[in-house]
Amino acid sequence: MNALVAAVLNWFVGVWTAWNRFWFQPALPHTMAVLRIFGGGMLLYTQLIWTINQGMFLGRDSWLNAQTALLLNTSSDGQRYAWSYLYYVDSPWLLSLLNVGALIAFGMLVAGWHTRIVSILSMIITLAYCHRLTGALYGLDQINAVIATYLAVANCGGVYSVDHWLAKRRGLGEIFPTVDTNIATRLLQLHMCVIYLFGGIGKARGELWWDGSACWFALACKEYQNFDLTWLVRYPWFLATLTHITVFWEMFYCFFVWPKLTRPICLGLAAAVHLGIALFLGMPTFGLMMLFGNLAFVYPETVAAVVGLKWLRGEVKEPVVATLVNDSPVRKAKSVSETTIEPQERMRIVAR
Amino acid sequence: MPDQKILPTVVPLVDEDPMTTRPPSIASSPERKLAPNSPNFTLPLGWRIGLSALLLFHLLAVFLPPFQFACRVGNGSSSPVADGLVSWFRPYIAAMYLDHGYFFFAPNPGPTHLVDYKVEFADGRPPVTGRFPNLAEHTPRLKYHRHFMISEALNNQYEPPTPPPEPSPPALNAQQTDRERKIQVQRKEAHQIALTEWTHRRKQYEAMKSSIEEHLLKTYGGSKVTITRVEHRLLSPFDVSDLGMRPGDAETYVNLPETPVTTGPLPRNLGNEPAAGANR
Repeated sequence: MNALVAAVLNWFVGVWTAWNRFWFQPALPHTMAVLRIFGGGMLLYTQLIWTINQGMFLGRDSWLNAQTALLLNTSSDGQRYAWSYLYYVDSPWLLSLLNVGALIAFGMLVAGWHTRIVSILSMIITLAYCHRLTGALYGLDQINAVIATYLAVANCGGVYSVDHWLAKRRGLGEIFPTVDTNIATRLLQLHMCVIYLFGGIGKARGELWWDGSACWFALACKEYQNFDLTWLVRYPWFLATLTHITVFWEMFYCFFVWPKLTRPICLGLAAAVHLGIALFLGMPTFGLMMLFGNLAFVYPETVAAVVGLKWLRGEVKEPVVATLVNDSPVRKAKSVSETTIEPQERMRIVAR
Repeated sequence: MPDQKILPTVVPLVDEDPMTTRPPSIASSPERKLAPNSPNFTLPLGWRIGLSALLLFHLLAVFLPPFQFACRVGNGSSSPVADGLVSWFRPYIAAMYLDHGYFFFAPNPGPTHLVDYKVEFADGRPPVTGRFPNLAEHTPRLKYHRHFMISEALNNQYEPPTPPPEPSPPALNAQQTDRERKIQVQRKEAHQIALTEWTHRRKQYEAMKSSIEEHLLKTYGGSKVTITRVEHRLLSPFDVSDLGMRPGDAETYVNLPETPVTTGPLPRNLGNEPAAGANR
């Protein structure tokens, strides 16, 4: 009995240790910084479209006015938790002011200027617009909100930012891994897994995803088409293959994206699917933003090497993909840097 | 230093466990070596416990809405576990905009929905007719997609103007068993819930429709507007390859009536599940 108790206790200790290693090990900021630039860029573009068409989407006489948005966000028992300051604003001047303010906040986020404050502000603004604009939203807004939320958690201005540039000028430009960046990265990774898991489960419930015709119906839909692809009807095998790969990839993404051997395949398929959506299904914004979300699975050291073109200059002796050796962000720092730098300096290699 | 206290007490237990698959070399792993150089490598235990609770809470809030959505089946039934758990997390889920099913193009890519409108003028000008979304009119693509989602949302929100029918009462002279009485009571309760939901959804649909009509009247300065929901049906491979039909053919567009022609149950895609690409 004592042995059983000890085994159970040991198991719990093992779980707690793994939990700590997974969540509370510091990570370098490069991945989240690149995500800040790309994701923030998309937030900026989304906001630009709202701002240009302010009267159409946000004004007193918009397609779905504020009272309608309030009602749509109220449940049948009268509860409403989807807050937004935009419910209560219908003055065109004030709306313009808020829209321009949002553009400035997103612009500062992309530039990485006062990043800690504007990343939190960007999350609040994104959520407020999502709630006010209920009825005009789709997958883009969902992933926008996800990325804005996790950028607010991470130290996403730690590098590739005005903040970092200013800090370097003051002689404080060293880049350190931080726990908040790791937590944000892990949350985004798990959120992506949930999105794909239920996307796959949803598809697995439909007949067309099993008889191989779902991709045909998606591509032949006039409202989504960028190009007329109905000539693909002559290649049913090709369409069915795309359909089956999509279902299996989505269903099993949450398992295969973690091991080092299958991660590149998973991310490669993600790139193919989302670029396909961007190019052929008329949703370039959504396709790109989902692709940016997948960046969470690229190690900061890999990002640093790619951004710094170190792989071109031959400073990294291992191929970039070889840095995907295990799941420990700090251990990754070694795999890139051990070829040229002493252990004490490992964290600084990416600053160059 | 808290990190110096925690590492020796937690990690060796794993290393010494004969059942663990972790290699014994972890004691000298780069992580361990790097730990003292990383200022935040270990947070104090209290912080980690508190953060862990917050993380679990957030992850549940991420997982539960799509789980609840996946648990809904065609006849309106759903899992009491999923419904109950989601109700506890409702404020956070709604506030953080996490209430999504992620059923992109699922369970099947379905027909798309558009809106036709006709604006008439009191001064005798010829009426203006149009349809949204309109790729020629709404550029860039994101603006087009916003209009597309409004027309899809209007269709998803549609509720027929007549409330769900009451359950038929048993014949007055019928002799009921306890079981039949119980079933009758359950049917009445279910009807009351359905009636409340219908009233709310119908109110939402009417508000959406009225807001869209008001927008069109203001935009064109008209005196009367009529909007019609239009379903654009998808063509099968057979339609295209053998019948030579095209996705834009006029016969693929069907006007949807505001009052259902039949009194049968609603088609599966109306109200319960999102159309292609539209999602919740």
